[in-house]
Amino acid sequence: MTETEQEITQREQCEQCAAPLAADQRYCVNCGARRSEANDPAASYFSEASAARARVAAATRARAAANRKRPAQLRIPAALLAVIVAASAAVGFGLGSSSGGSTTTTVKSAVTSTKPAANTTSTRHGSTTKSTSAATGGNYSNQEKNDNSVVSEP
Amino acid sequence: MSAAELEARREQLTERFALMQLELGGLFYEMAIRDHLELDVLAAKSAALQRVDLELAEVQRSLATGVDASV
Repeated sequence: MTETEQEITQREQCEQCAAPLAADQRYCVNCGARRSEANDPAASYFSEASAARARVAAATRARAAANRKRPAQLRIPAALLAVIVAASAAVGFGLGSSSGGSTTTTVKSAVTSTKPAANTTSTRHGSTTKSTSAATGGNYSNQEKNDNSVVSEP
Repeated sequence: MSAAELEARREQLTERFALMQLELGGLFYEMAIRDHLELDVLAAKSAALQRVDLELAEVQRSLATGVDASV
């Protein structure tokens, strides 16, 4: 027996029970052992399907992990936004409380300063009255009265 | 065993069950076409497959009820 014949004989024996096997035999009919080197279309089909399923599962897991990370990334801008809103509210409140008194005083002073001026202009006659009323955007009826008075005086 | 562990075990057992059933069918086919039926070999393989089947059913029941049967 040559070396190649011995190799073929060794290869075509069951690995478990050493029963003789045909070249295209997938299982040993004596002990039921599966031949690993045999061409098995069903096994290759299912192994490919299993690999595809594993790829899909890995992709799904990666997508889920990415979705879980996204809210965590949004947390920082949300916190920043909250801080900015709180800070701007505090600054606005501070400004409002500090400048509120001065605003009222300026309004009061404006009111008190305009009242005597209105009185003085009303007491005056002629061209002075015209200019003050024009400058202050004064009343049309007052202007008419003054105009009348100017005309009647000479 | 936690729910995640039970699901992993179910996945593992399902894969094993599918492979063993595939092998049992392949072995029976091999014996049939060679006119060499060895019923005791087939019965032994079927018994192994049945053990996996029972364990898989137990895991599925545990997952369905939320109670760990192994504890």
